[in-house]
Amino acid sequence: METFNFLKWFKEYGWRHLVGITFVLFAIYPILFVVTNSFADFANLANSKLIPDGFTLKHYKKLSGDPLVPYFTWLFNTYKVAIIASLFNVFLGTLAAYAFSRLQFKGRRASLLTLVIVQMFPAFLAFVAIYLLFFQISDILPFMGLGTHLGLILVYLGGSIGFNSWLIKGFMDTISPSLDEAAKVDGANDFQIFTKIIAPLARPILVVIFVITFIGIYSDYILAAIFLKDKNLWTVAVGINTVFVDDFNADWGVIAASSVLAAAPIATLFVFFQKQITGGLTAGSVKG
Amino acid sequence: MKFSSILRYAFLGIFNAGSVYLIPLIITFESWFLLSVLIFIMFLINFTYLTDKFAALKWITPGVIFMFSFVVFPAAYNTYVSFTNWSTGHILTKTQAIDLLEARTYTPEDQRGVEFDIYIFEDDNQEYYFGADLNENEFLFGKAVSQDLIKEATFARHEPSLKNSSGEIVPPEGFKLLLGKDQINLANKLQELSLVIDTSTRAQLYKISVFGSSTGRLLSTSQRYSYDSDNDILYDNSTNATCSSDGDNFLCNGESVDPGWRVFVGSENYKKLFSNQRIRGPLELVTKWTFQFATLTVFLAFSVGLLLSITLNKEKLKFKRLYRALYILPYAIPAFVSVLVWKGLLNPDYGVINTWLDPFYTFFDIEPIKWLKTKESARAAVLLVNTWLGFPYMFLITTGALQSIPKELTEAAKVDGATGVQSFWRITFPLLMVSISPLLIGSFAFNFNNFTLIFLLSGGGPPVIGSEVAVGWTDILISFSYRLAISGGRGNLFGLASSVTIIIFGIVLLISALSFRYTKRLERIYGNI
Amino acid sequence: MKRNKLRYLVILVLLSLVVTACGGGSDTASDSPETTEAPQETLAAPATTSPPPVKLVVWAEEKVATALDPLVGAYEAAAGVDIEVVVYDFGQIRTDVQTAGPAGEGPDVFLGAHDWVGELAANGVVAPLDLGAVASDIFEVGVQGFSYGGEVYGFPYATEAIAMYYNKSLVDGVPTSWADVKASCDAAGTELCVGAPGGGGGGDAYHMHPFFGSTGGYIFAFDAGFDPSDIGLDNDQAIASAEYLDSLVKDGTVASTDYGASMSAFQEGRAPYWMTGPWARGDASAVDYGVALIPQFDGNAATPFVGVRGAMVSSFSDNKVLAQSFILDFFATVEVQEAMYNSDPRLPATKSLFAIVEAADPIAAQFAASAANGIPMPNIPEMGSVWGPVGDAMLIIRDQNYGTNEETGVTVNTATDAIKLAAEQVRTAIAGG
Repeated sequence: METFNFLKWFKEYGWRHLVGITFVLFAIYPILFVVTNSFADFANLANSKLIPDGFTLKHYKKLSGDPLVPYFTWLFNTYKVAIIASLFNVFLGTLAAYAFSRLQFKGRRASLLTLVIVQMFPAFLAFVAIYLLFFQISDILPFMGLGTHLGLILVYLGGSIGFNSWLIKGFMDTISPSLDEAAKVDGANDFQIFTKIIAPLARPILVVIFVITFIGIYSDYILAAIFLKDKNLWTVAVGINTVFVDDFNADWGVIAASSVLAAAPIATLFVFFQKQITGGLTAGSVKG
Repeated sequence: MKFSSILRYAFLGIFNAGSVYLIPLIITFESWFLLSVLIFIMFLINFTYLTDKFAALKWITPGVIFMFSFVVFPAAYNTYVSFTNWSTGHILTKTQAIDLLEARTYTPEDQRGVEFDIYIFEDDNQEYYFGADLNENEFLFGKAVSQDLIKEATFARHEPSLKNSSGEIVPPEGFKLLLGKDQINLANKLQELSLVIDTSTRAQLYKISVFGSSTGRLLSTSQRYSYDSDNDILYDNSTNATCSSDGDNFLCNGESVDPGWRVFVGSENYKKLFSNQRIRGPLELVTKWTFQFATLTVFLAFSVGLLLSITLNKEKLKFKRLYRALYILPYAIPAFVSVLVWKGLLNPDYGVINTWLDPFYTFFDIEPIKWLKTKESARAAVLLVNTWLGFPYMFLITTGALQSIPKELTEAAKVDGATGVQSFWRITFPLLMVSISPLLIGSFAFNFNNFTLIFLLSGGGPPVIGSEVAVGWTDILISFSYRLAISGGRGNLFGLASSVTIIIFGIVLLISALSFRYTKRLERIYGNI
Repeated sequence: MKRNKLRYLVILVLLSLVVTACGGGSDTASDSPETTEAPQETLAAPATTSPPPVKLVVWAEEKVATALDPLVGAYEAAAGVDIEVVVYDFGQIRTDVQTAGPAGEGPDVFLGAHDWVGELAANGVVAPLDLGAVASDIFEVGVQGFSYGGEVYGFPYATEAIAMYYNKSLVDGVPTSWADVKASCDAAGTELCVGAPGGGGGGDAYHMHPFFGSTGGYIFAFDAGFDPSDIGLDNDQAIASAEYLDSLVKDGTVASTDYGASMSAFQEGRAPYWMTGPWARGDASAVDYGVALIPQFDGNAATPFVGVRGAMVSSFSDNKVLAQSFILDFFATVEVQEAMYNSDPRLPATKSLFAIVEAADPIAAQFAASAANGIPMPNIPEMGSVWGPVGDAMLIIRDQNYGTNEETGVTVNTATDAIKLAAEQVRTAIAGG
């Protein structure tokens, strides 16, 4: 009886836990190194030991107490820029996706493909081009030029519209057209169908895209480093790289501590967003 | 008029007003490029929202504008650079290069480093005079003239010392001695002026001091180079050489003069890539591995991501949320940190991976793997780490996509007697591929150019022994082009590197086009659900 | 319908014009000083109203900027200029100065490494800086580092070179011969002996220079500047050195480690020696450490590569003379140098600062002594084609990664083959093939 139950449980759930736990180990083992090193006296990420010899809070203190390292300002900047840019990114992508999914027009597929493909360009000198472009913008519109968060956000907006709209479009395609047809009969226009029906139903994918875009922006160093020259406007990636990374060595303890602090809200947020994503399951039941 | 129309026209009004307002401003700054961009955007916006012909444009235009500005423009710029000789020594325009050359002075060896005090005087007409304190009795005094007037200038006169008994300078009648801040405020004017001492020597400001006298130094009266724009010839006044232009440099006695300038070279960079045997061999090798790397990476990351999302796609599974949160974690740690940790884990001597594998090594009696040091192990390591970096993304995407597949379909299949596995491969997976495959293509394109990983983890190494250009076994096209770019014969070869990226884009384009064709077939078979 | 559209269009244009006019009205007011600046200046000049203060923009890395910022106030007040210190990521300065300068947006003064000088000078973005009287206070290696094509391009404020760290609880010091180093490791019974970056999969020609450059091998011949046509990577002495390195690797003296691995080996007491630079002092303090010269090679002092950092003037600066004055009259003063040292303790490049540092910090003095034996990294742009091949060749020796390339059929079985191959790669690259 007992074994039978176990087998059944294993077939339904057990193997899932087995696979789940195996990959949890795979996923977080390297991260544990980062966490333990953030408490290590002599942090060294290429360490042979998971548990370092000395335990210290000095790296965290350096990030919180040192007036020369306005870490929490950087963290705030990072989240501010990443959240605003990702929101607009998702918004623009959703608009485009609606057209590609719901409107019939010539060259629909071709134009969507163009958007996706153009995004794949490996612009080796993109940063030079953007730098030169923003020199000119800085002269004319200083509030969105080099050295401003607004300018940086604008650049990020161009970043991933292509992929995003494709992904959202794919999801919107699965929302039954009967819903908007019914609404059309009731006299709703495109705008109303979009805001009242399609966008709310597409919420799960929008959350996923938001997370992906957010993380992309949050970990960006190159563009942010080109844009932000004022210490108080830096993002975490720029601040850490400028202050704690040198030619040959880097202050790995502080970097590890900073990574932990910066990643913690994301991890928490992701647990929080779970509700939103699982919300998609109920949304799915509407279609048919 | 409906509310939405009011909104639309209000927006257009404000937008156009803003743009019209910007136009004169841009014109004053002479940013013609920006002007054309603005006009293009204005046209696009007005066209989109004033006509009802292209309803779709209304939804797409906002995104496209940003994409055009920050993706298409850099791409176009990159393309442009690939047709130029942009490289070390050739980053300026010809005018800039000539300006710099003409500003060079020539100082005879024996006069170098000769320093003396210089005093600056101003007369009533705001003209400036330099005085050099030679010794106790002599003071060299004369009008300071600009570069172009040196030839006509009268020589400085020797005068009795202007110092009084307490060592202070007493300016001559009608002159005012400039001190400290007065000099500094005029610095950029004064630095152009010289005191002409004789036909071959002049004195020029070298330091402007905050207190008291400034410092001057001796220079030749002649500038080093002068440019004859009619014949496009540069004269070197120090050697009397005539230097002709070879297209992007001046050549004096067979030696090129720095800086050169940027020119359009047509398809030169591309020809170099294809005709140069030295580059071609490694290029083939690297291209092959780039394909393998990108394909395997996508395959592995996708497999793991899909496996996990299917595993967790089960109602009432305990700890589901926790699992999902933990899987996303690798994504939240900056790559430059986690890749370093992986380097440590992979260390053959004390890394955890070899410690774990130790029982296998002893059991099968094989040599421990020298991770990152041999071709195979380095390639395997790169794939392993990239799978780790990439699976959270795939997990997120597939989780989202799985939820969009109507449960009725799989349930229907179950009713028809299909097993879970069968219904997965027959229904879920194909449907998943319809929505996911473009992202796989995107991910392929991303990894095709995943410079960061290669650069941080293996640096392209281990080196390919015996190749004529430095290249490593894990180098992919983009890291190879980076090597080419920074290790050109003489510094950076941005033009050449850009042409490699164009070729990479060409390859990616081709593959994408083929794959999209394939997905179109998928869509036709399974319906564009 | 069509007429309706047209009407909207007309309204729209009118509306735009009205808004523009309103906006423009307030704007012409704010714009006017700019457009009327020229006449105003000529009118105002006789009345000697002071023009806006001259502004110097300085790009500096974080630690130096932090030290400079509170000090520039004094110079600003005395000179009546406005000094803006912009904090920059060090490496970013090199690229941005080349993009921003020609576009008219660059700094007047910037800090950088001496090995950028060739590239920056060839590109015409850095102006020569006559050190004048200050030169006598600077160590020769610093001036050499900033010399290119017969001109000096910067004021050196810090140098940097590797030496040998040793773990005081394992060994007594650093012997002068490599054989004694090996013996001391055997006596200590440690797992590894010398941890030197440049192996373990990470090519590093910088750390490896003493191993091929100490007995007469060289990358480029130096005579008042580096000569790219004279490459001494595969001369007899260099080949002998490479073979000697090979023997040191084979007998276990030099371990196969990259930077991170050599660090942790030293920190964990698995290796009593660590060959690296002063930047690692914090990391080395995990153990009780000392620093001494790198052991000699065949009776010759080890020659590490010396890196020099300096202040340079942009050739696109509008105020070059003032920028020069700022460097020579302010930046070069011992007070400022000392403040910078306190913020970022690199080896002093000036004798006056060295005198202060030497007494206070014997370890820094050891590094300085090591640097005194060294040569500056070649600063010519051709150096770009050296790092890869030489790093790779040293890596092959360090990791004993000999073998035949299955693609090209070329075999590298000895250290001699490896270094010859590197020399060949460098030559072809420079020939521009």
